[in-house]
Amino acid sequence: MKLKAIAIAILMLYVSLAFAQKKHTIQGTVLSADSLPVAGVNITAGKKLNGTTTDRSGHYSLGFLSEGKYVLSFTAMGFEKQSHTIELTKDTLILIMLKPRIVTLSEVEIINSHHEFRRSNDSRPVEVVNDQFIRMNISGSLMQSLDRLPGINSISIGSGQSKPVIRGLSFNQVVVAENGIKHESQQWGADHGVEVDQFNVERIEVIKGPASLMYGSDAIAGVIDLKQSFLPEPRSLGGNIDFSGQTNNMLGAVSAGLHGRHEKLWAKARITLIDYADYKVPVDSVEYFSYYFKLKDRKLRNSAGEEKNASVSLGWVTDKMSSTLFANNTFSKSGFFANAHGLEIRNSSIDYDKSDRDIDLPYQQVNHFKLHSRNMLNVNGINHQLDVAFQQNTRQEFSEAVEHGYMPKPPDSLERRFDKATWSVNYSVKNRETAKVNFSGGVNAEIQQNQSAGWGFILPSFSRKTAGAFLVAENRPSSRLLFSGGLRFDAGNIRIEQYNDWFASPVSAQDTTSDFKERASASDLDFSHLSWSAGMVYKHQKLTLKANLGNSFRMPLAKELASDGVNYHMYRFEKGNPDLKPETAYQLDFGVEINHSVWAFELSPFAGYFPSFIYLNPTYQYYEGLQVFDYMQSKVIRGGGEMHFHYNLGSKIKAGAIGEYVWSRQLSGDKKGFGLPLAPPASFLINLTFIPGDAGSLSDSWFSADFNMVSAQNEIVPPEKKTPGYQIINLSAGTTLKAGKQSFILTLRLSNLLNTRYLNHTSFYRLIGVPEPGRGLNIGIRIPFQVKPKLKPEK
Amino acid sequence: MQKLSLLLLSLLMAAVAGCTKEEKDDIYPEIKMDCCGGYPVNCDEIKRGTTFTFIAEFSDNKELGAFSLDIHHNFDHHTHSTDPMPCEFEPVKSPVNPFRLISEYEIPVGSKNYAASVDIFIPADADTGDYHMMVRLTDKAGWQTIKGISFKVIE
Repeated sequence: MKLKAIAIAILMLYVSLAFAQKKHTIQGTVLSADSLPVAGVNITAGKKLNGTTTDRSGHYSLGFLSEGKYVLSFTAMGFEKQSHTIELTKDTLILIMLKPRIVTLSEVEIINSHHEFRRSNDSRPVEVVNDQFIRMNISGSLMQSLDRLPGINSISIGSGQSKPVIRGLSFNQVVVAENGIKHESQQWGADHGVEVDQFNVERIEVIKGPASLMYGSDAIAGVIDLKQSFLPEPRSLGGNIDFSGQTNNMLGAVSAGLHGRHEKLWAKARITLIDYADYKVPVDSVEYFSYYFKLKDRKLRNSAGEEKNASVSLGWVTDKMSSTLFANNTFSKSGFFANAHGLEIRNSSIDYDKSDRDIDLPYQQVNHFKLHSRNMLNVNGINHQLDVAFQQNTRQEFSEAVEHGYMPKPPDSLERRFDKATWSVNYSVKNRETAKVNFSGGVNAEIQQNQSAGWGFILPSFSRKTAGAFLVAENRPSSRLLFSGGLRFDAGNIRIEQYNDWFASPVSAQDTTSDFKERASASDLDFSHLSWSAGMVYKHQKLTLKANLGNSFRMPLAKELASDGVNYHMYRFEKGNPDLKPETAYQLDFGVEINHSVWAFELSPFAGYFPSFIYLNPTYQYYEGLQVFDYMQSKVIRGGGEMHFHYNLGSKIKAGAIGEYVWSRQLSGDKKGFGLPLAPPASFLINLTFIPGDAGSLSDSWFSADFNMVSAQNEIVPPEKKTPGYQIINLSAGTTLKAGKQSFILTLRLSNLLNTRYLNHTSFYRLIGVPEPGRGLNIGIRIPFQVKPKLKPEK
Repeated sequence: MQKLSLLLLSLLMAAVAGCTKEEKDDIYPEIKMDCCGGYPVNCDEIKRGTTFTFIAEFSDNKELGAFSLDIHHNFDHHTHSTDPMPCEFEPVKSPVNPFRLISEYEIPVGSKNYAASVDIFIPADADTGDYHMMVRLTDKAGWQTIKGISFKVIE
């Protein structure tokens, strides 16, 4: 009894004291970068106090706080953590905008992430990754770094160049876009790599499915959209410096970026320099036919290269409008393996082995300049967007002047030069987000000028004009359902210039008089196509179901329409076909996604039908001593899909698996019964990630191991070779080290741990039997810095 | 929901059904020159002003297509045979009147084996020195096998 009385007295004293001290509340709303409320955000105010979480509308409230200094932390799955120090003297309202933290595949996070938001609002399979993913999986070039994503492969040309493959399709069937503008270079070329600075990419969205609605021609297999989406904070100035090194090809890279913003005006800039030597393969010699190319120090002769990139973005942003000017220039020079030219063994008097860092003949040199103005305006809730872009791609290939066939020894080493200038204009308009049916419509136009030069004819000069108009609608009859659909009409014209050989050759076997033979005839061709798409997303608790049916197309290329001459790369005679129709495709996509707190599973099967696939058909015939390949169209069916599984073994260990498979069959034509060229083999990847948690000055640490099993590829078409299966192990680790106020983000990646000798079926050098790079350690250090605001508590 | 899973099932079935093996040729044809009276072989010497007979045996698992011969000078040592054994080259020199042959030949329809025999005349005024011969052979499906040999044209 006495005890109880004392207890009540103490309690009363405590309560009255508390009242005497004056209590305040902190409340507010947490929004995502797209201004959508974020539910379930954990908020703590110092270590001793209990925190709270935001409700469905993103509101939170922390009450009965005494005056004083608090460190408020906001954490949510899929977003970057934010901390703010406040001096609490009165009731305070704090609005928080969280930035998406797009997580890596090995640690898929489910709730509220931007990643999930983007993925679950598209009826096609979508992958979203950020620059962190690239740093974790860094390879010699961007598309190789993305190779790990389900359904994505790359065609690599040595260690520093690559192009994307989406579900077994590549070249002009995949659109690479930068900030929504289609990247236009020499995508048709087997030795072409995408001209992009991989240090300058902030977010990547991959659509694996027909995307002609937004991009018109070419987006048959999908789109890889590289975005510079990060907007600096008001009154801030900062940047980062990246250093990267790779032991296999002795690569050294430095990339420095600066970003700053006043209020409405912001700017970003970046410079990247990369230099690499010949890469190492785990063999002493490469066998081609019965001949062995002996390699010095196991290095692939003349595969060195360099890259110099610079970019500047300038922007003006208010709540009603934004205007951005992106300007960038990439330059690369890289050597081709010296012992073979295409498929032919080549001798040379060049001393390739004197240095593993010099770039001798043959080599390629590419410069890509891009200027893009993006303007967005919101008038009464209606969003308008206008994009105007100009690109200039200059590609040169140099090789030793050697006579071949009827061609005498050329005067110089410029084998090919392509100059391509592309102007694009896109305008689109979207109605209010709150409208019952969300409409977006727009028009695009593009003009291309292509000039070819050099002694090795492969592509005639041509100009191309295309224009399209689209309308897309989206409707949510309930919170669980989303329907989307759209229509697009495209029309295009291609005007091809006549090309005659610069040397004379016999008219025919019977007629030995010589003539400057015509290799491309002048033609003026028109194309048009109506593409469409319809899809749905059903979401209920942990389950997401997707279905999409779409039709997309590709305009035939000048090379496919008009060439009639020797491809001096592959040494074959290629015959164009002016009667080609646009290549069209129907694709049906499904998606099943189940997200539990401990595990997640995703299956995305697809089936496709091409009524008119454009195929370079190898015939048995010869012309001018070379095998004739002619362009024809065949019916093709395709199918396959990806599987993705994650399991959390406790809070520190995560296990994951990714599987992918593509199958195709030609149903008509000369190669009926065959598949398609460059088909990626089935693969299965198992990942284990260990996240030890913060310790001392180290935070965000991880260790990851990938075990990648790739099956043999026996589904081949001429002139391919069957490729045996292989297994490789890649290890990676990373941490953020804090030294005082300065942090250092370190990443280590050990690729091909066991130095396995293996062939990649989709690699450029596969045909001559060159194996993939051996073991290599990549070390990356990112040093972020902030000049303003100073990192100290306010006041 | 049910309809969707039905569609999904049919899709998987179609994929499985599509996987059943169809008969298609994916084997390269073969060129045999270093046996059975094949001529010339790597590093052979041939007199100019004479006619020699190219002899080789071709074979394929299904059906042969066509073949071509390409003889060009290798005075600058730019090409190499596909043969593992290197030949001794003469010093590099400039061509004056090099011998050249680019020619296609048919193989009778339906042949699995074919003994190629082509008479080739080297004019008496052709440059002597290192030459290279490429033999290219296709089968009906479009698979091509190439073989390159080095030989010398002598007085």
